[in-house]
Amino acid sequence: MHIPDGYLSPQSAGIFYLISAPLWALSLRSVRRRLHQRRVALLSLLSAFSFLVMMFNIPLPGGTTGHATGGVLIAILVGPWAALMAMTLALGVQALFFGDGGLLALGANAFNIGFVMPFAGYLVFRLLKGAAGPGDRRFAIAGAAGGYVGINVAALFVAIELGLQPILHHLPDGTPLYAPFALGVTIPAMVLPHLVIAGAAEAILTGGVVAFLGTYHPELFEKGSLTPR
Amino acid sequence: MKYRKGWIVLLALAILTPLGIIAAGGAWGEWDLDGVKEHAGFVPEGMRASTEGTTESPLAEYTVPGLDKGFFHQGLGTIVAAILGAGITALIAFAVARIAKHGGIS
Repeated sequence: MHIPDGYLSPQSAGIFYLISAPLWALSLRSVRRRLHQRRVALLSLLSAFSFLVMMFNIPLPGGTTGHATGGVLIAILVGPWAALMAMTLALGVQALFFGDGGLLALGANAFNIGFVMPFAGYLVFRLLKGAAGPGDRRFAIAGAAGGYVGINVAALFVAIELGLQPILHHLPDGTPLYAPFALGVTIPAMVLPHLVIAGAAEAILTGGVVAFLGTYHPELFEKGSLTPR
Repeated sequence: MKYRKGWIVLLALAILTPLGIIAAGGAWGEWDLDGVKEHAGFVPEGMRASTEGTTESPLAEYTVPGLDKGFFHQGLGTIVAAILGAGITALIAFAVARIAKHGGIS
C-alpha cells in the first residue's frame, strides 16, 4: 500500500501534500491540546510499534504480500489525530531510510495509511462499541471490525489514486506516463487480497491487542474524539 | 521507564522480524522499474524520468550493508534494520509530540 515514487505524477503527489499539510497541522494541535503529557511516551512507543508491524509481510493470493499497520489500534488508544502523527512518522522513516514508499509520495501515503485508515477504522469502532467499555467482548469485536474496515477503505483509496493516473496523465496515443493500470485492474488487485487476508490480519491484531489491553490495562483507553479540541 | 512491558514487546517483535520477510514476492504496485516492465509490459516514460538520478537507500529492503550474505546474516541484518527503524521512529515521535506539547524537548 506504500506508493513508491514515479507511480503518481508530480502534480498528484503535490496535491496530496497540500491535502495532508492541514491534516498534519490539526494532528499537532490535537496532540498539543488533548494528549496527556504522560502519554507522550505511549505515542512514541506506538509509532515504533507500527513501524515494526509493517515489517511482517504475509503472503497474499496472487503471489504478492501485504501486512497489517496497527493504525486503527493506535487510533483506539490515543485517538485518530494522534494516530495520524504516529503513522506519518513511521511512514516517513520507512521512506527516508528504507526506500519503502516514496518521498514525493509521502503526502499520499500519509493520507491513505495515516489518515483514511485510522479515521475510517476508528469511526467503525466508535459506532459498533456502543456503551461497551475496555474488557468487554463487544469492545474488542468493535476494534477488530474497525481494523478490518480501516485497512480495506485505505486499500480502496490507494487503488483509486493509482487507477486515476492513466486517465489523468498519458501521451496523445493514450500510453500512460505514470502508474499504468486502469481502475478495473487496480481495484480488484488492491482490494481483494485486503478483503481476504490483510484485512483479517489487521482485524486480529486490532481486536487481539484491544482485548488484551482492555482486560489487563483498561486505564490505557481514554475517551477519544474525532475533533481536535 | 514508562510502559516498560510495551518496550519489551517491541524488542521481541524486532527480534521476530526475520519471519516477516520470508513471504515471497513484494506488495502489488510497489515494484521497481524491472517489476513494472514485467507486470505492465513497458515502463511508463514519466515513471522512468521521475526515478532517474535517485539512489537507493543504504538500508533499502530493510537490509544492512555487510549483513546481506547468507541466511543467518540476512536475518541479523533485518533485526538490526528493525531496531534502527523503530528506534529512530520512536525518538522522532517523542521529540515531535514533546515539542507540540511544551514547545521544547527538555
